[in-house]
Amino acid sequence: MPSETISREEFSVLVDRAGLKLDEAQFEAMRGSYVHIRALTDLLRVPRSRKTEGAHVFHAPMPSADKQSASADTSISKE
Amino acid sequence: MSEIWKLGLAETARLIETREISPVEVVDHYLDRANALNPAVNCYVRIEDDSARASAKVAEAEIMAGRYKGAMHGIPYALKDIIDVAGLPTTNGSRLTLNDIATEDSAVVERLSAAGSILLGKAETQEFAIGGPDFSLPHGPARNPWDLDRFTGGSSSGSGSAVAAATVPLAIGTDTGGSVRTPSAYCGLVGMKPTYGRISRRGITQQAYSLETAGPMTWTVKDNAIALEALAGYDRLDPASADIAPQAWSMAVDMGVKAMKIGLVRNFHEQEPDGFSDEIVSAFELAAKVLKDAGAEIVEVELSPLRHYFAAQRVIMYGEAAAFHEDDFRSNLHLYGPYAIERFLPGFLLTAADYVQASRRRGELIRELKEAMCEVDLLLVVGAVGAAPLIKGIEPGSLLNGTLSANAPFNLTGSPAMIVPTGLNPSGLPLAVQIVGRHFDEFSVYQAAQVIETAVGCRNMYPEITAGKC
Repeated sequence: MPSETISREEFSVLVDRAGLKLDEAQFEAMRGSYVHIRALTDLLRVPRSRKTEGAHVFHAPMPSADKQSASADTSISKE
Repeated sequence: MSEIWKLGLAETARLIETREISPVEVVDHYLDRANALNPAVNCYVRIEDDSARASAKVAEAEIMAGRYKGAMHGIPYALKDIIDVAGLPTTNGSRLTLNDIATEDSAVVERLSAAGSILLGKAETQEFAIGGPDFSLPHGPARNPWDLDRFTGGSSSGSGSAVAAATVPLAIGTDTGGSVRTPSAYCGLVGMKPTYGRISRRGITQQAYSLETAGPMTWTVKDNAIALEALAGYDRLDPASADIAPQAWSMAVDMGVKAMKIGLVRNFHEQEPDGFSDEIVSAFELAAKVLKDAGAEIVEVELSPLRHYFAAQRVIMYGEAAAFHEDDFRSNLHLYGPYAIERFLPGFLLTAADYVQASRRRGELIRELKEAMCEVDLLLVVGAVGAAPLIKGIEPGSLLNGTLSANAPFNLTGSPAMIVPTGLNPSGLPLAVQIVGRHFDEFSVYQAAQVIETAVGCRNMYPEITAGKC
């Protein structure tokens, strides 16, 4: 179920945090639509275990071919 | 030849190759139509009369000298005005960038130019590919050629209108949540959103970088496949570009669907009884029957509710778009139109955790779809929420009212997805269905699309304005 519509004070905090300067009509229109935004974000929170992986897994960039061969050369020269 | 516009891309290409028609004749014909119809349909923000005619003469000379480049040689096209052409403004449909001149060609334009295609004009776009039909902006919205009071859909609104009015046989749109497919559905076109990474995004104004791709919009399936062959390909300058060779997609149109297994995703619309019109559901059922009659095995596939896919797509889109527009929203908000403000603002109200939760949900839903598609070759999904609505019914404030999209899920998953017309409703407005493939399997999508197009047989029905009766 969508969350309740946000109060003026609470919504004002969000707008200030975003660094926006809305006129009264924009402010009220967006405050009225906020329930739909919360309806979207509520749907994202599905039950997950603590071990559930994030969607995107960070991979460290692989060394470039040039650096790999340079590293290999260094290793060989040390031998 | 008096009605070149009825030939479409593939047949025009054949006649150019056999020298039965000249690119000069083709371009002159389409320029005449574009200039005559644009005051009514408002699909172009600029028409390139001089450069198009000059390019046509070059193409003609090349072909006469035996240097024919292939099916796109001498074919005119329109380009959504968020895509760069060196020396021309990329207005993005916004006061903010009204006079921004591009310094380089986009990858899309580079590829089409290399294929010998000819830019006819830049097509109207909803502001920054997200706003609505905004009359407060300098250019105003494109009109739907099937009914000038109707919405084209967006955000590739001018691209849809330009092809439906037959002012050009091909337009390039972009699709972040349905922006190729919705105008294709509303304007009665074939519209392909290829797999994410198939077409380079270089030189296209960003909206939501992890969701968007360019795509061709045409009158027929074969026209579309020919265009994608020219557009697709690896670009090392686009970090999302996929190093996978394009295929001969135009060969798919002769292959049929025998031995294919196609999954019907009914739960998307059945769980939203107020979200989709009866006639768009009938179009879906018609397409399912056509595919079955053509020899495909039809099975039911149930995915998570549409709202779950939609929510993750929207939160990611809003978040990425807000990051892109952050500086301008803080300092130049007054330059945006009301529809764009309304559609960008949600991104500023989200938290970082919201975005990450959407990304986690995205991963889960991609896995779900991938598992489902291990069992089937294609999915069939409703194409739009209904036929094209009246423009006057789309007021600012109506865009965030929870209206769903059955197109958005496949931007979330990066899957190829295509709109195919299924005929007209009793009011003479186009209806359509959506075909979804496995990643990088546009070939199967084109196979099924051609079967539907052939069976429905609606490609000889044109809007009255196109036929010159308006």
